[in-house]
Amino acid sequence: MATIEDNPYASESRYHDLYPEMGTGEISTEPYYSEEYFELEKEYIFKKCWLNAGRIEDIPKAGDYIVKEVPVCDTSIVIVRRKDGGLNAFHNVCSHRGNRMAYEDSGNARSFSCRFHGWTYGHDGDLVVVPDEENYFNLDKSCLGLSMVSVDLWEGFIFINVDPSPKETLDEYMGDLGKGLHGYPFAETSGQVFTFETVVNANWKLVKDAFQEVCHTPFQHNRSLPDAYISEANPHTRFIDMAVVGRHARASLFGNMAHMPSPLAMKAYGHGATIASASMVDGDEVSAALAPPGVNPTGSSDWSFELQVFFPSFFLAVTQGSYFTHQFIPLSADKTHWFSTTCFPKATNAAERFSQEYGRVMFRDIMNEDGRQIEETQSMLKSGAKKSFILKDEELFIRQALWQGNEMIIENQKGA
Amino acid sequence: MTLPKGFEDLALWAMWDHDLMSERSLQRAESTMEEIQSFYDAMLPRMENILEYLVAVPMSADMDLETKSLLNLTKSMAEVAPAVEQFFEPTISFGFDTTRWEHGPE
Repeated sequence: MATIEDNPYASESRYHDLYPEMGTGEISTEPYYSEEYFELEKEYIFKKCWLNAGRIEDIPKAGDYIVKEVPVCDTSIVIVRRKDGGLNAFHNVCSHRGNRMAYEDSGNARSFSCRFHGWTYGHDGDLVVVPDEENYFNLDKSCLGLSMVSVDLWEGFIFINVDPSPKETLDEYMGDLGKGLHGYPFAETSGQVFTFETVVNANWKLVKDAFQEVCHTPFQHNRSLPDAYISEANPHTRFIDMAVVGRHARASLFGNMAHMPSPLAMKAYGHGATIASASMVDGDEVSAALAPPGVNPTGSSDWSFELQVFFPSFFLAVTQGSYFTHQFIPLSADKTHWFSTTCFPKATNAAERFSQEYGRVMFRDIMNEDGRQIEETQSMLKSGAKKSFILKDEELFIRQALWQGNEMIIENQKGA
Repeated sequence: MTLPKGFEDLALWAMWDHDLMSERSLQRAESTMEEIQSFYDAMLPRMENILEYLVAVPMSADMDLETKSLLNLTKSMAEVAPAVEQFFEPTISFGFDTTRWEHGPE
């Protein structure tokens, strides 16, 4: 058996030592329920950042569009695939008298016509038709297009930014963390995307915090994950490795290679990837998923997942043959639209589809263990009995996200 | 519900033949542990044969109804497995109400 000295999961070194600017003290609970703080977050974080708005597979053909409600930015946004394959995005509002353009969630359109008076716009947002145009006064259609929103793609994920002049391109925003995943087979692994969405009665950061540490696994998930992410050497489910990268954060997740799959898990693992540690998956997919430099950068033999937390609220965890995402879209100081996906290659046969269902159900049941705790915590915050949270070293990302948010609010307030 | 040849006896479990996760999870939530356990116990020893059959069936929109029902039973098996193997109860005590999730197409 490994001694304490050579057990990486019993190390006394601290990740926090690398980020002295963030300190190690208690963090205030107020940002988790304050209406005033929420308004600052809306204005100076969400209206300034690149936000995930779907996958390119959602709009495969020219004219395909999706409508994203983005209440945290006080808007609704139409994202459309152009004939040349590129994307445009605009606020979902007619230039005439401010009516909402698209009422549906998605569709295919050669142009967008307002139901109110028929003003019609092309895929570029240009105003092309105004019925009874002669009756208006000096109408210059060339200046009356839809209000454009910045949109771009990173590895097939669509991102939008409602800032009229974003300070950074999407590539700059994703930075080194984004680059580290280049080459992961996202397109192939997005052949079958299962979505989950709900409204959870909690502040968006509280929902997010439940997923940016895994040291709750031995307690909150003691039934669903009794041994998959716990071992004698790593009884507290510590990360293999964690780091803050620009505004974002990443960690390699430990998996117990001696995990004993349940009887049905054994059947599922025989027909494709599912929520599983590296050792449980057949070898074919290994090279593609592990090729990117940002995946298992320490080369650990205990690796199970690579977790990426893109500020402010997009989570991406990749493994071999599947990945999952969470997005936490604030609705108010204590309500969040929680949108998750678990993604696989397209099942080629019905047995693989069963295997995916096994992974999908496990993913949801694990979220169900988390979801209740999140709402219970929120329900106690306003009591004021606890004015701060206490964080351990493995909870660095919770501190970092709050710190990053505060920094961004201050920086963007100055620029306002 | 009719099932492919060799699996006819599983027609006893027609109440688990649902196309959608929302329907399967509701069936799980509304069943007793005894009902769930009987379904699981009947299915588990057959899974190997079922998967041998399903692995030869390409996934397509025009899958025949008998095969689709058999696939649905395996999806329900995936749905109840955590209840039997991990939680020892139909739904998760002190958990999030699973009917609060909305699911996209599957």
